[in-house]
Amino acid sequence: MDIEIPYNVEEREDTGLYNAKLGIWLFLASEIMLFGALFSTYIILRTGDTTWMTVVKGAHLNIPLATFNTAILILSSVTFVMSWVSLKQKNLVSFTRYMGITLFCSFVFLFIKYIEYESKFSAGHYPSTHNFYAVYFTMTGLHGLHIVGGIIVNAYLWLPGAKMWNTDPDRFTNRIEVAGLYWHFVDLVWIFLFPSIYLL
Amino acid sequence: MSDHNIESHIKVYWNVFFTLLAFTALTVAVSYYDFGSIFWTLFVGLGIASIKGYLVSAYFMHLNSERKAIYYLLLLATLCLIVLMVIPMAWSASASSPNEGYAPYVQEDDDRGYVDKDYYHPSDEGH
Repeated sequence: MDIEIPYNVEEREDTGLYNAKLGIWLFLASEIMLFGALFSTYIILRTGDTTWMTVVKGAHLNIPLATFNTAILILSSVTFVMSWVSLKQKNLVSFTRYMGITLFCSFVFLFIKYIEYESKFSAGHYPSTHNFYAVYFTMTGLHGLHIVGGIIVNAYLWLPGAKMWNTDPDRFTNRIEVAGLYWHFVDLVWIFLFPSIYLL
Repeated sequence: MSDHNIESHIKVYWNVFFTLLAFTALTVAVSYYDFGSIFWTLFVGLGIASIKGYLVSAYFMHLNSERKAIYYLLLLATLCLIVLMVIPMAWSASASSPNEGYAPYVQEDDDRGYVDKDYYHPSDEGH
């Protein structure tokens, strides 16, 4: 016997939200506090350490590469929102194309992160070397894990998950909207991480 | 969304994308400029990041036209965030010297490899 779960697609009268949308925003609220705690840690460690800027200068952070990575992530955000718009236009081919570009950008971002990490490790810089590296690896590493998580979900929705389009297109469109909210949040975190770690 | 509505939304999304790219370039450019004080450096750097953050959340995440329940939820999360950030910072600021209350962990190379320098430990007190 099939049991219909209420508010899977239609919006609840009092909140005006469907289940998944409320769920993702609750999750993102917890994420705000997770990254907020790390930013707080960063500020305290940095302001309390007189050697900080010397270590940052010696770290030779690759600003052009990080800037390119920022642009890649912003591009992935707009292609994600375009994949959602494609579904609103009932165009699955366009959705597949835009989601494919989003996934490609995600892998480029991770590859560039790998190049950055590799250069740090080969120079003998590890999280234990100095608090700056501890903050650098923890924050960019946690952000990178979020990218990996996003890739897994987006890849599922791109290929096997897209079958839902044939049976329940509205619910599938909602899934893309919710996955998009997560992806834009990951972009948002990087927008603050990039100047905080690399530029300021 | 009607077809006309969708077209106008698409235009907005791409405009936001190009604006974000321009602000990214601006963030990098101003980081090479000497503002003379750490306050203005942070104000400009984080100010531009905040504008970018607003553009992403307002347009890509549709927060400019979202339900009230989401606004209340985010307000609560922001309040919790402020409290969580203020408590450790206030505690840190109350320390009389930079090394008091927490331990900046500095290592330097010497003949033995890595050595902990200036590493604060409670057992160091009184030595």
